[in-house]
Amino acid sequence: MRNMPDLLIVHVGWEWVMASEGQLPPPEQYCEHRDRFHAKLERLRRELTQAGSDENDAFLLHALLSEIGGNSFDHNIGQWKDMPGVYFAHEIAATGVTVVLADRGQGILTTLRRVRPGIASDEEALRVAFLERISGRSPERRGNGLKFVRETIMEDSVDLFFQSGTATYAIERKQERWEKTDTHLNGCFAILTFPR
Amino acid sequence: MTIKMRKFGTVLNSRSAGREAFLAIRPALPRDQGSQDIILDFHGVEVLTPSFADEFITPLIELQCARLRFENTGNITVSKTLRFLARDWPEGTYKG
Repeated sequence: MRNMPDLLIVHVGWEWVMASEGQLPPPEQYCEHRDRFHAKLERLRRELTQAGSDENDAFLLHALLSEIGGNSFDHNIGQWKDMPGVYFAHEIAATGVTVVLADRGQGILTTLRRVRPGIASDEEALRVAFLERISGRSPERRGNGLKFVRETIMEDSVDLFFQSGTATYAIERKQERWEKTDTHLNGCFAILTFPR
Repeated sequence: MTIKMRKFGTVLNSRSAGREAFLAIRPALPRDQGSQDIILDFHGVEVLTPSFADEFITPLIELQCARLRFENTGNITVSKTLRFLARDWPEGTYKG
């Protein structure tokens, strides 16, 4: 868990996504279905604006999280390893808001290999997902969500950590870092840190 | 013809919703190619994502039934999403 914020929501999400068998996360942090995920997104946005965050920042965070979490549902429907849905937790502090999103799905490599069988590794798959316009739902040709996330974060002051398989991708103060880790993670795990 | 996007919701953020919105509007689209403009009015929309827009706007462009115009695109997610997707659209479709 190198380079991750030392927050309880991060630890709980990490343990949930890494567990060998699926267990229910805390109910208030679990979205089994997309409708609940969207409802929680709306609630988070309201909380942020009530806490004095800039409205545009709240809209933007809503859009970014929609794309990351939407991918979990779009690409894993009917194919979850054990537990459907996403872990979705946030913490609002004076300096910023941290959001954790995780799923126990197929992961980026398996998803993208359906449309591009030649992808050799988690690392290559992650780069394709964030850098190239490709969809993992063949024959649907679109799939720009993570590319939009990257471009938006690079324009605005948001930090991101993302892991799938053994590949990690991080944006910190607009600096990108692609790495390979020893810890294999099924599904996806993302942390967004938005300044206030 | 003006399509008030707000009628599909203030948060337009999933592929499935975009697809459904397009299917709902399709019967009302002009039949004669290029006979009129279609104005997409984003007044009241709070969140627009590429997932929704790619399922709603890109097919509208591909149908080539009308020239698209965009109004009230000041919301940050609307402008960023349109600018992002416009790179894959025919030149001049969106001039944000």
